Amino acid sequence: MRAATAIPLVISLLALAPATGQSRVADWLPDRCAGVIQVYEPGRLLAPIRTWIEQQVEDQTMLARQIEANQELTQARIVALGLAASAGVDIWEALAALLGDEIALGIAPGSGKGPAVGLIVRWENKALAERLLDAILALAQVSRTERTTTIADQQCYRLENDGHLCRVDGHLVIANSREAMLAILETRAGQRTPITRGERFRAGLQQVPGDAVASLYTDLVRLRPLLDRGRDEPGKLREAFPAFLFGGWDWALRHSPGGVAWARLTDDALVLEAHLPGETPRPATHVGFTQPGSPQRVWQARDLPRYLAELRIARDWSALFREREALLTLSGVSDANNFATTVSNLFGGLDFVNEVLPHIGGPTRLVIADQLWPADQPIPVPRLPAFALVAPLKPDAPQSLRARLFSAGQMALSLINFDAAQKGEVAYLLDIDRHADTRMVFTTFADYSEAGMQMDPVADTTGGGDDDAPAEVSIRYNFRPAVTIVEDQVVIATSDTLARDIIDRVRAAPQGRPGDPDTRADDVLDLDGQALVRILRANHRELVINRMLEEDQSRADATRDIDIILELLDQVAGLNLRVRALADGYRGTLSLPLRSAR
Amino acid sequence: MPDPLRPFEPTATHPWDRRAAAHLLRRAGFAPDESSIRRAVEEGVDATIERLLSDEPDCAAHRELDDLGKALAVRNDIDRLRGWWLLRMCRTERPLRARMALLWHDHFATSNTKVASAALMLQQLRTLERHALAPFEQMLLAVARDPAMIVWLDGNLNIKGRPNENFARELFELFSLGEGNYTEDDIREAARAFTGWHQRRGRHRFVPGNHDDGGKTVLGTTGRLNGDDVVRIALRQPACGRFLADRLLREFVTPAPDPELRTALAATLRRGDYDLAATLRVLLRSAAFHDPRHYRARIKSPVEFAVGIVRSLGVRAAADELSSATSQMGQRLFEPPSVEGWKGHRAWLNSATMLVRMNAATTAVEPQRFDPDALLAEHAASEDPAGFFGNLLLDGVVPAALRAELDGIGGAGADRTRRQVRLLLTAPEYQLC
Repeated sequence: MRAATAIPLVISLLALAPATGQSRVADWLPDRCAGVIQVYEPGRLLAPIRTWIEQQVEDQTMLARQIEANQELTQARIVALGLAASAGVDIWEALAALLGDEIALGIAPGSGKGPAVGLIVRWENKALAERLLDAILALAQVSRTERTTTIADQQCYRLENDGHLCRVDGHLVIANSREAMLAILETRAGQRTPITRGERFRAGLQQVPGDAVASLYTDLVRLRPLLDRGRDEPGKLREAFPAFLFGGWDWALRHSPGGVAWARLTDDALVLEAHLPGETPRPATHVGFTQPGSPQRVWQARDLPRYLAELRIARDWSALFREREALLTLSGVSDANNFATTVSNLFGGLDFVNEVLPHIGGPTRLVIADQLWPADQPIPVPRLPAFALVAPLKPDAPQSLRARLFSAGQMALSLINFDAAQKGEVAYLLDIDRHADTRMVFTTFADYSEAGMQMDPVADTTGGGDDDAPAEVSIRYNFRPAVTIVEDQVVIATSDTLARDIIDRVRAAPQGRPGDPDTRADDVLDLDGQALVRILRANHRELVINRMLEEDQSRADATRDIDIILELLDQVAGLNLRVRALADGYRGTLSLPLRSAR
Repeated sequence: MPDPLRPFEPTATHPWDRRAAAHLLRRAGFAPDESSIRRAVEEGVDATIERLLSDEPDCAAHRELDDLGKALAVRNDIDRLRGWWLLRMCRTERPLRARMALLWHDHFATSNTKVASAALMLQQLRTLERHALAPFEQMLLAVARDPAMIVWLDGNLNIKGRPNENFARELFELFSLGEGNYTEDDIREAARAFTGWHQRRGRHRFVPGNHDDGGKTVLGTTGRLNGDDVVRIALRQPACGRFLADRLLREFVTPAPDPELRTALAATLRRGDYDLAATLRVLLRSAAFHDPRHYRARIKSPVEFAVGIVRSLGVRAAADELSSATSQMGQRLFEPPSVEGWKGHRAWLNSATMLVRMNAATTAVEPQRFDPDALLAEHAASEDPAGFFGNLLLDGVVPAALRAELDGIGGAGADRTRRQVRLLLTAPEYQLC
């Protein structure tokens, strides 16, 4: 295999001229814009993309074969080649000319017909870009006399759905309405104040580093009324679980003047960063949205066998429950109370809110790893990875709480079994084991031999084409819950194998120290892209079926589309999102490592 | 009094034309596409009916979809299975068989809300499809053994000494005879005959220890009767012919059948040992079926409405969207509201369901799903889009006010045509079958 198909894209982009933060094209956007996207020197992005595509074609990868076989793409390519040839250049030169050296896209709240959107491209090679655009407009029959109109003394063309296009001073301007085009042209002529003179915009853009390839600015003061649209009680969320997860972000959005995000390319990754500054410190009712890590064993989920992903959430669940009336709508509070009452029952009289949650430290982790399927067991459809919820107990948690947690786990499993029995489903066999000197409650299915789908195979004569395939069982057979407490970590897993792996890692891990990156109050999402692709490939047939039904496609078309999606996913080595809670807002970094070798 | 089932004879005032052909194709399937209508007009009524009754394998697109059923059942994903069934109706080239399976699903109404198994519901659907046009005896015997039906009507609780009457009662009242044609004693005795007819893990199981093997008297017949005997005794009753005739007439001809017509069809059914294919051949060819009084006399069910749009316009449809739309319109497949199935006809329409139909029509003509220009070009009808779609969707019977409204729609090109088609789909006339 050829090496470094993604690397040229990264290296070439590193040579891009730094963004100044002092935009020129955005000077044409009016100050009523609530969002501005800027791309710096977009034409030069094409070189690495070209290298990557040519590498795909040269290697005859599956992706290249699929694209070549796609009739619509082939037709589009022929048209593009013809247009480029008519201007005397190749297709890449044509694209570079059209994309120019700077792009700005502005979005402003509209007046009843959706947002107003305007796109401005500054052309570097004006003559060539003009020639190409003329050819495109002629092909699309846009440049006919009856489609021309004058806006702010400039000749424009009317497009479909009230869109307008204009060429002025070596710039291409496209807007989704006449009003939007007028606002841009008047701003250009100095008749309106540009957004680039705004305090908030300038403050936001100052944070964008010089090596950014693109940036996004959002004026949250203008968008604030939209955040409360449709809400029963402004400032409060309806559903308890999402409220406790994202309520802090929601508060920050409502108290920030504006957010800014930018994209950078390092030598092996695409990095997106964002800053959401606040105007005031987080109030006491919202302190539960951050929780410094407890002194605990610092174990890395990435070290787990068959690791797929980890979500780490720094929440003080006890504080959030305590402040539920300030955070949730009335009906959300009711749901949270019902949940607390139900869970309290599992703890045999212990009050979940006041006697259990205060002893849970942070962060809470959701760990995901692929599962192994023994040859003598039927394979569930779809085949899911195993999940484990892991939360630390605080050092002062009473010893008796550990036993209560075990008994609560057993009681929950018994309830699941009772429900299964009522549905005539195979129940769990509850068992207790000691792994690495750690007690563990785990489950197996009581009877695998009868776990197949409840259907007479002879009855499905029409759809019985896969009767010779290995036995398959429903999605519930992915879940064989296990509960354990290793050191200070409470583990609730959907497979005993994952629970055992976590026990091994925790016991081998060193004690954490304050200030360790893993004890910081950050929210983290980490994903191994290759593991994800492996699991998706294992569910290939299911993905194709879904595609056939969702998109009304033939099996061949659905298979082709799924293969392309998997191949594209395969180019991304993973994903790492880290969101740090500041005293008044948030700062986040999303890193997308690209595969360096194939 | 002429025989209402005498063959339809085309005349100058009532010819075999696209209106008659579309009526046949719509009633014996779903709203047809332009090509199907033209072929039916060209081939004639007999050939069209034989094509509808054909038991040749379905087309490749349908078979490809068909193969997905088992995988969806393994997932126990009833919502997806519902969408899959609807998509199959959209793709089938055997629409009469699909229409009959839908009829039997309503007739033997079984709900997954209690069965709680997509696999069992699929198995029942396969049974209904397999026997859709077969002699009714085969269907009843198969349904009596169907695991989903056994769960639905508590067959596993029907044991010797404590018979559960649920299945026996519905067998007589809803499946074969109708109210007033049996006694409570008949139900009690029939329930004893079905004792021990259980299901276990998706298979019918006869459990001898739970079966009451003693003597019974059901509908005047005495003996050590079992479930099969009871089914055959029910089929021998004159009431069974009338009951089934009424069901078929309400489905295919009119929501309020004449007694003479019902009597005539009942006689046909009994003479032919309840062979449904043979009976439908007579019915679809009959003067009664083609009687102008019965033209657009029924209100389309949600499934007829949605599947018909997809088939006639060649709209791209997602399984989930079809499932969601028909459910919101009041017909949630695999979950009929009660053992009596859906009330149908006038019950399909109210202000809420009409709004859903209008929204569904709007969705159906979205540019990414529907290309009117391609359809117009295929049939050389680009000069008069409103006329073409009026012919296709309303058999050319477009009221003057509607035609004026169509012509008054502004804009140009495909966008205008889409809005015209939407107006046709939401017209009161289009809600009729």
